Amino acid sequence: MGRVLTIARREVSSLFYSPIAYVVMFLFLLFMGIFFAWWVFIPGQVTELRRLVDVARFALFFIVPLMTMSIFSEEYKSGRIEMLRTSPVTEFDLVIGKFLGAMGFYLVLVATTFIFLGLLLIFGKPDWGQVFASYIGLGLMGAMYVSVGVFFSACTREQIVAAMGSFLTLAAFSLITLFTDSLPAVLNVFGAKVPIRAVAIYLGSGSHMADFSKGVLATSHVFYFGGFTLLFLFFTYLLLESRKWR
Amino acid sequence: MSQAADIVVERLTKAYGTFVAVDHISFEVPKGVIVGFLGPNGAGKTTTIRMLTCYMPPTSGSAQVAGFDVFKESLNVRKNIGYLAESTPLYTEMRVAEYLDFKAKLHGMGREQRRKRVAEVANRTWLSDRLRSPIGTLSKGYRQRVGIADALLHNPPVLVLDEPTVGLDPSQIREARRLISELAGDHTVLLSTHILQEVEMVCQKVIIVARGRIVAQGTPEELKNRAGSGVRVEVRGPTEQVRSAINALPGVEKVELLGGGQGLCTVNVRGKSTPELRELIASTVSQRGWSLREMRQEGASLEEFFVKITDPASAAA
Repeated sequence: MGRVLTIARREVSSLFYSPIAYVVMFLFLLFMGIFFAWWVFIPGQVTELRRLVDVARFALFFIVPLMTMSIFSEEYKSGRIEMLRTSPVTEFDLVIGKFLGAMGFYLVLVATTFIFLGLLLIFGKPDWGQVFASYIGLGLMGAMYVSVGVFFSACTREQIVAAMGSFLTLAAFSLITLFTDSLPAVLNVFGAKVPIRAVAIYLGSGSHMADFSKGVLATSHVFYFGGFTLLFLFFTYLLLESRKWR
Repeated sequence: MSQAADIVVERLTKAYGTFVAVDHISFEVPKGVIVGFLGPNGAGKTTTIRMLTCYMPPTSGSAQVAGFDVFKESLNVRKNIGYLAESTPLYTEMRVAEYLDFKAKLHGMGREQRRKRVAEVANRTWLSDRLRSPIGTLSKGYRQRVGIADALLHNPPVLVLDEPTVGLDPSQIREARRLISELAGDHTVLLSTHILQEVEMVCQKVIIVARGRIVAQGTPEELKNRAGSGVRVEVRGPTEQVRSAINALPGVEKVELLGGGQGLCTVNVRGKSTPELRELIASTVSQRGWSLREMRQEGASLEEFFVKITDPASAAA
């Protein structure tokens, strides 16, 4: 575990050293600020973060790829991967360490939205249960988004390709919710009835985030985000491990 | 495998599709010995080193480092090996001390041990005054030293150094060679290099690779002898008689006529035991009543041998 934390700590500090971190943070706060002023911070309205959480879901699927694109790609490109892989570090240490490092940065990013929470506190009385659940939800969703980013970064030495790969994947998870209404409820595939709309609704991250932003903590949603996180981390592990056989 | 060897390579092969980068090479490096790993660019040196350091798997064959198999016991190999990679890729945003501390943590050292070892290796690689500098601001020579310090950090029994003196200035090169020489005995060193003087100065054994195969191995002295040293002799006397007289001497393998005419003849004599050979030639020439005008030991160099043996034209031979 010591090695995992060592790698994670180095990853966080290197993210904060790079100018990209501040660009990412700026974009995120700008985007969130605009929607906060426009949709949430309105006199006479119910004090709740729900709409802001929905906005965050969309903001993050293009912010997270920018944040994670360099995680492995940069190591490949600079050749530092040789130094890492010839150190007494396992693939597991590397994947989990890098993931935790990126998660650390992500949590700082999400924590910047406490500014909006502060404004709501001054001018209204937010529902603490809802706020708490929303942030738990953002944390879990972030874990999934970051793991997708880490996976695509491990696929290629080109940061742009990594960013595009994770962007498209996360966009699919986020935007699928918008199209579920136009899907048929049941699709006939070679005689087998596939409840395609239900599957699409389940796969989209929207249906899972919605409950969190309402203040509901349901284990099924925790499983959804946790499951996808583990799946993508496992893929990353396999990808690194497979180098042993090439 | 034999007990006394720290690196044992058996029929190690790496193929990329149909291109064979390393072709069934076998060698051993005894404990505490510095071995020079020589070869032209593209000979398979770095590929071999990358297999030994567990960066890439062999296509076939096996290798043991410090008694552990590079494929099956990779983690143990990596714990016992110090590796200076060819391009010394480092985290440029970190300070030297931070980077070394990070690497020491990866090696599982405790806080006290890390502080002690970082100071020790920095001292040994003349980095003590640069510990606070960000690596990105360092010159190539200093980065190279950080790489060497990194390789020594966990005091590994086996060191693999890929071109350690590249980018150093002449006085640093001297210091680096002295450092490497000092490592012998406690450490087994595989030193990959292009610089032949370096090999002559620090290595007890040389392995020369070309086109993915080992073309020669032995001590620098043995290889120099194989290059065939010669004695250049200029005599006033009849050409044919001089040639046959020298050719008849014990130890002479070959007499080449380099020039002649006007009663002079110049020959190059190739043979094994040169010190006695020169005396024999001198006495023979004077006994026959010819006069010896010049005799010179031609300096046989490792370079000559290296060029000869790695020349693609000699591949067929």
